[in-house]
Amino acid sequence: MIRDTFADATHTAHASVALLGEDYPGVRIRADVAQDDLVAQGQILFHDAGQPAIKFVSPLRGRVSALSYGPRRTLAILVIDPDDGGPDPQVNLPKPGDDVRARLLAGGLWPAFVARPFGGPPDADARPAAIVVSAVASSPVAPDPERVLEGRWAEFEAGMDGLTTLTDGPVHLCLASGTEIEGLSTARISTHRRRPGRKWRTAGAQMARVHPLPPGAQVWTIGYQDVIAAGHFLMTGSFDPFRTITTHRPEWDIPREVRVPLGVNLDRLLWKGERVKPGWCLRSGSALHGRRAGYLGRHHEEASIARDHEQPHGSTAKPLIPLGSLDRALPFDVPAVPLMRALSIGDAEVCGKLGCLDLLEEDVAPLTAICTSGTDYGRCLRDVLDQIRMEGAPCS
Amino acid sequence: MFLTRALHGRGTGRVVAIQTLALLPPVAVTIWQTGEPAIGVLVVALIVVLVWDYVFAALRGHPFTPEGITTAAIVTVFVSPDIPLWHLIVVLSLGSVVGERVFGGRGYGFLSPATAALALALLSLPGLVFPAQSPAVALACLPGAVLLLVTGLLSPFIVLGFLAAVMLAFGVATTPEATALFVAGAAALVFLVGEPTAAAVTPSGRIVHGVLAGGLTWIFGGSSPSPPTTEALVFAALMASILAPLIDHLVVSGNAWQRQRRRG
Repeated sequence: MIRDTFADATHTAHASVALLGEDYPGVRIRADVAQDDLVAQGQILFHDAGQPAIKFVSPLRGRVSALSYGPRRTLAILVIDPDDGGPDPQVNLPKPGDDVRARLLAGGLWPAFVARPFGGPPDADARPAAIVVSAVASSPVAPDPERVLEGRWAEFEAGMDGLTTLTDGPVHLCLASGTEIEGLSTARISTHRRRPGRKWRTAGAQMARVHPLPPGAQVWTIGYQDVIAAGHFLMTGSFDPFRTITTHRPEWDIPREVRVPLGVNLDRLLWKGERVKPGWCLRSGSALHGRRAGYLGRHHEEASIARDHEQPHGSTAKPLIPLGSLDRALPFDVPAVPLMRALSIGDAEVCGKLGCLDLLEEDVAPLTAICTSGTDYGRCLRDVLDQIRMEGAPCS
Repeated sequence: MFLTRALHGRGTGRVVAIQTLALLPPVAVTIWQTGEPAIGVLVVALIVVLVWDYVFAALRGHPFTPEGITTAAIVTVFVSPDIPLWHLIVVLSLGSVVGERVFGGRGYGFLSPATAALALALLSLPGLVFPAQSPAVALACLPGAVLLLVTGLLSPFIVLGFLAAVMLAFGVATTPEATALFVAGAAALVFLVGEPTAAAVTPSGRIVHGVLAGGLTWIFGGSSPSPPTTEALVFAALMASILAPLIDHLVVSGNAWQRQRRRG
């Protein structure tokens, strides 16, 4: 189904990369580099202002060409242009120690985790009730995990072993049915195999099935490629910024697989210097859960040129017609239409009662796509989650 | 495949268009059977509801959407063609304004304006009787029902709940009985009970909504085994849509309670 063109890293050697604030909701940052600084691969770019132990590192060697902040000193975007010339940049690569947690934090691999509730990287000292590892293709056209894992089982195993030290609970490995795994002897790892479908592809759906969020506790999710990178780091001490993704253009029959650095410039990857056609846009992530973007999202494994469905924000709110297809849009036991109504008016109490703490923006993206009202439920959910986080956990 | 996504990300205009398409066959059959009086009812009804749609759109500065088309079409299918015109104008105005426009239009309220207008007509004019539905009209509702089911505007849960309840309540055992029930109830089920903006919105709530509407039809029809009258169906649809928010509230509360219990 997917064309077998494993392009090598040179394919995107001259593309810039970016770290995007929308991948790290709620994280206020302190920059460790300034604009125009030369940085090495794996060098710390900035850290979490509230928790200095959480570092964010550069996917490649280059020059910081843009650094801008969002509201309340959150990150808007940090762009690095590749730059091979000049003197070697100052490298402050972390020293290897024994503690997996400290090494992942210092090596900039911590932001690979997404903590639920609320999303974003988990607290540096938090211990989740469970960790859910997704090794299922996030959409029918995403890279096949079995192929990506080929030849990298040792690193994956090292990564999984590392994960077991971070939690007192189980580490759940979610696989497509029929996937053969090598190694992984630890008793703390429980594997789950299901036929990949709508209710088994996204991290949120997998968590809802294998380990629903216990009250007052956290569950972390992480993708299998990030586990490989963590294992690689724990084994060698070097930062592996490359991920396998699929790219798709409308005129291609089948998507192509490429290995690209995290946060790669999609303009460079997909348009290749052509003029942007009106009515089309670059999309990072799957058709159902992705977003319009110029750079690859931190947790996305697909990029495409897609029809631009972004609706212009009208002056008047349009009504919500409770279509039957909305009921099947969420893979959670959350009633869709009552949740949409509560989200659209920002009613945090009702949203909490309906189970919105299980959800993140990507989970409600299908509701936005289907709904007749044109409401951006992802944005509404973020507002509600922020409100709940500030006021403390709701009673539900 | 195209039809299942026909409404995704579109506004109410497309919803009204699909519902109008579904209503075309029954309206055409009604006109074919009754002739000019039915055309008169349809034209007057269209003028009344569209005037109200336009007035409210202009007052609120909203774009005009001819949402009233469906209200007028549904009323044409149900009322007797010799209804006094002033009466038609009054109940349609009340139904459209009180049932829909005061809430802000289609999708904002909790009532179907057509159901409200029909119920008002029955309440305000003692002795008014709606004609029994003809088999041809009932059959003409089927293509529309399929279209509404596929596009997600008619919930299969409501349909199944309603059918199960009426079959039990009316004690259907033979084919003629089932046919009589189908002829009497098809149009009311598809266009009154099933109206998505006036029904429950959770899957299990929709089953309860359908069962409730079916049970009320039997009670309002005098608990007799003869096929339900149109009046009983209209009042059952109205009561069910008034109770729909309560049904949803109970379902959501039960869901939250279950989640809490399951996760300790």
